[in-house]
Amino acid sequence: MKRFSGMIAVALLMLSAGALALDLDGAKSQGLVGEQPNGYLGVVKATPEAVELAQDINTRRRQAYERIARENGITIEQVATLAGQRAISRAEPGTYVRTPEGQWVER
Amino acid sequence: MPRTLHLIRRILSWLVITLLTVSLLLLALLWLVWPTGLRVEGVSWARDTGLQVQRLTWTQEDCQWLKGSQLRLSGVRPLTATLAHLVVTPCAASTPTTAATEASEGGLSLPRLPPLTITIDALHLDTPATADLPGIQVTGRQSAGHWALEASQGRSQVQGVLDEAGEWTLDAALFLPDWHADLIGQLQVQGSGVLTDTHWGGALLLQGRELGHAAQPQRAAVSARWEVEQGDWTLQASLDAPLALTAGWHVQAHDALRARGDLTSVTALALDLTAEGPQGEVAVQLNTDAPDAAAGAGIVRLQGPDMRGEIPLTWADQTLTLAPASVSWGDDLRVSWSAPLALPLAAQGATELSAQLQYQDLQVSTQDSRVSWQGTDWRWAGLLRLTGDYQGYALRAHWQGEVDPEGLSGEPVRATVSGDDLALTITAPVSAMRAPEWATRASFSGHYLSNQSSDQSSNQSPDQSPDQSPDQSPDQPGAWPLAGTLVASQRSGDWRGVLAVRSRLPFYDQGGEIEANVPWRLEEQFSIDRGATLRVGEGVISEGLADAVLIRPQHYTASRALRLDADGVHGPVAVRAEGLTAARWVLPVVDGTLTLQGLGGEAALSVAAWQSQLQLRADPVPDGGFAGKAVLDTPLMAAMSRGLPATLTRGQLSAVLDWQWQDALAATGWMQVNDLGLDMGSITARGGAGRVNLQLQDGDVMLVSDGPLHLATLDVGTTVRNIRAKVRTDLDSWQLADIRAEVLGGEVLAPALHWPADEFQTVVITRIDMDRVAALQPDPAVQLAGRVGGYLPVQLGRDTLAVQGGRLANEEMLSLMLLPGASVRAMSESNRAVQIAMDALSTLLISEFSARLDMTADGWLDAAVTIRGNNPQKRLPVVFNYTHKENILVLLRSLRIGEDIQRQFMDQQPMPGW
Repeated sequence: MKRFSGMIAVALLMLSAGALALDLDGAKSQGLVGEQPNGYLGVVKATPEAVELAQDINTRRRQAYERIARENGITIEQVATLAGQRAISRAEPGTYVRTPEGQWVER
Repeated sequence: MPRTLHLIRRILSWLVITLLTVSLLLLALLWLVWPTGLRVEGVSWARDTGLQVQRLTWTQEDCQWLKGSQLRLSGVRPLTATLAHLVVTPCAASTPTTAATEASEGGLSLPRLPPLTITIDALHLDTPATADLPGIQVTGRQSAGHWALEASQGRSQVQGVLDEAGEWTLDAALFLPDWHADLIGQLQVQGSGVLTDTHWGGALLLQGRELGHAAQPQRAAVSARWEVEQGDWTLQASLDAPLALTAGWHVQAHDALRARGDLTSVTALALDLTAEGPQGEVAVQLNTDAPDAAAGAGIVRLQGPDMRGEIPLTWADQTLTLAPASVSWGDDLRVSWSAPLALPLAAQGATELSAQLQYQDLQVSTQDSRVSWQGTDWRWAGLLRLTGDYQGYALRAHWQGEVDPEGLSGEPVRATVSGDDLALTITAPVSAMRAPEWATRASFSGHYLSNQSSDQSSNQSPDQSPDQSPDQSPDQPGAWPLAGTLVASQRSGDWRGVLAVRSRLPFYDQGGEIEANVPWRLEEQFSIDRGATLRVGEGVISEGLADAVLIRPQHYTASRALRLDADGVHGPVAVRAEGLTAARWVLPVVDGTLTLQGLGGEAALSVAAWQSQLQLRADPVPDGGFAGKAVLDTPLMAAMSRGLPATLTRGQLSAVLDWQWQDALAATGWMQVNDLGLDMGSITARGGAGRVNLQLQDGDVMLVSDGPLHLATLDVGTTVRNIRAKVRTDLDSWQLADIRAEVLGGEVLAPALHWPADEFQTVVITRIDMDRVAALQPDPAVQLAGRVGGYLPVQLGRDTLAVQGGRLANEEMLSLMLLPGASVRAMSESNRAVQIAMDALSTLLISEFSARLDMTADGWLDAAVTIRGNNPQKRLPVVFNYTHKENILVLLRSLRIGEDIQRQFMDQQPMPGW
């Protein structure tokens, strides 16, 4: 019973933390962050939460790009560029993407 | 016997009762005669020294007029007392005019006292004028109404006698150096008169010889005679030569001073003297209209380099009237009054006092201004109004209240400061501005514009009240909002307090609140106490360092007291910056110390997570701006490279930069990298080293390697070793020289390569091992041996590569052998001609291999290959000519990223945040 209560508490804590943290989809739909051709999230509207979210996502993307580059014999930048193409092509309407010229445009 | 005992018991009982009665009577008497306000501490008695009091004070009407220490009462008849130290503070007389009137109507007499002898080792008079004078030794004796007083200090002596008949004499010799080291000369005073219950009066004659200032050559003699009769007095004084004063001033009397008055006022005066000094000359002429009339006129003239003005004055009916006048000190300060100022020549009075003070473009004016005094007590009441401009700022202030020697009272001071870049509203209550602390707690709010334009005009109109806020918006770009309090108080002549300020960094798009808590003190100089703090809260900059940057909180704490002077702040400040976060990179916590040295200073900072050390030095330069040095020493690690296309795996970077900021940044210095490791995924580099000199001027960067840069290995599928080149670049064009690299057992050499360039530049290839070339085949179809070399004239466009007239040839006998395999078999089986050719080439000794290579900038390669040799197995001579045309860029694109990888990304590969 004690263990079950602990699990409930942890679950509630995680739920509350998830509810408080800025969600990526929410951030995209609010126009705070957007996809870029270089494969990384960019900050469209600078808020502390948006920068923190982009930093967290980009750190994990970078690790994935490094792994894929090593596995496939290509460079990190090539992997990131491919990833950027895909992310932009799949961007939801209403979200922001960055053009190669550096402009943020709404899909 | 019992009778005797009974008698003794009775006697003892009476004795006890008597002693008790006497003690009670003495206590009652002491309680009755004990002066109000007299307080003693440390009372003791000893047989050989008598009654002793360590400290005594006497306070009347909240004024402690007597303070003494070490009083010893050594005899009763005559009463003999000694005091080690006595300070007398003149207190404001509650009714001086009444006492004076009584004195002038009757006489003065000293009280009847038992015989006494009082000795004071050091007597001080606590007034501003006598505060620095040494203590005087005084002895006073009285017996049967005969008083004798002796006082001395150094060589100076004063003797006074008042006999039983009421006749007094005074004889004094005063040597001025005994009283102040800057004064020289001697004064002799002789006097005599009477002092009885019904009559008092006398005369004093003063003679001064060789009077002057030690630093000035003038010497003068002065004589004066003062006579008093029942309070009415006359004075006549003359000065035979200019008398030197302090600070280069001397005074000269053109005529004898004559004055007459009573105990409450001056009724007649004749004075004609001039004081001259470095700042100018002050001439004073006063004269009564008639010898017996208590009226007169005069004038005070000020003229010279630092003062000018003329004050006509008259007096009559014991009132001095200053005509409207203006007096200036230097070019900046002027005092004027537009209506006559009437000042009663009396110990008690009141008058309207309306005047204006101007300092540069600031004016202080009075309204409903009234001064009253009674003895040494005085009081001013009215309204002060400040208007004008100072150093480009419009200042407005007003205050209504009262001032007396004890302090201020009234409504708070309200002021505004406004200008193109500053708008402040200040409120300072005066209720706590009272002696001795003169405390205040001013509050202020407003803003400062750091990027104001010169054509902005936000000055207040002259009619605007300080209660109205300056008409600027704190929401303007570049505006620093300002709000806070300034607490100040005085203690022992020093000022101290706390400045608390809240603001916000205007270049932050969000956040950046500033809180400063600065305890300060003003002693001989202004300083900030240890522990003063400045905190900058978290904030975001949208376009910081090419992208949005989240700036974590920064904390600045004074490690020791900071000194402020005209150059700025001096002292150490501990720094802790919680770091920076951007979308693709992070700067961890930075700790260190700022050592402020006026406008300049130095910083020693470290990033513990990166083991990085940075030292900065900045100093102001005479023409404006700053110059200094930056020294960086850090290992290179993956955590630094989140925003880079390559991961730093190892290395050490050192850099030294001399920099200057004067509208733009200019810098020269060097960077040294050792043991550099880079990982770009499939491409890795190891053993990078080299030193690069750096120059930054007008936004242009120039990097020049100091000797060749070296890379031990570069793995691009095959390993390139010992890459060396000298580099010179402005980051837009690159010039490489003395290029050398080892690849495939041979070398690639080029004397110079420029990128981008229109001309064709030769790259030499030599000793390429064909066996290692064959080893690159993923599915080996051919075995090669021998070495090949040649040259490639290359054109390095910004985004293109072209080859014109490239030549490759064998540098020794080559051998070729086709390996059995599916691909070779498939080619052989494709048709009969190919089969014959494959048979001929299956084993080949090549005596001549030559290849001609051309490639256009759009990637089309034309290759013509000629092979001459023989097949030793078939003893068959072979001549093989082959031409090939293919677009290399298309080929590379297809090779670089296989379709399967693209598919993996477009369809399958899960990515964080997708």
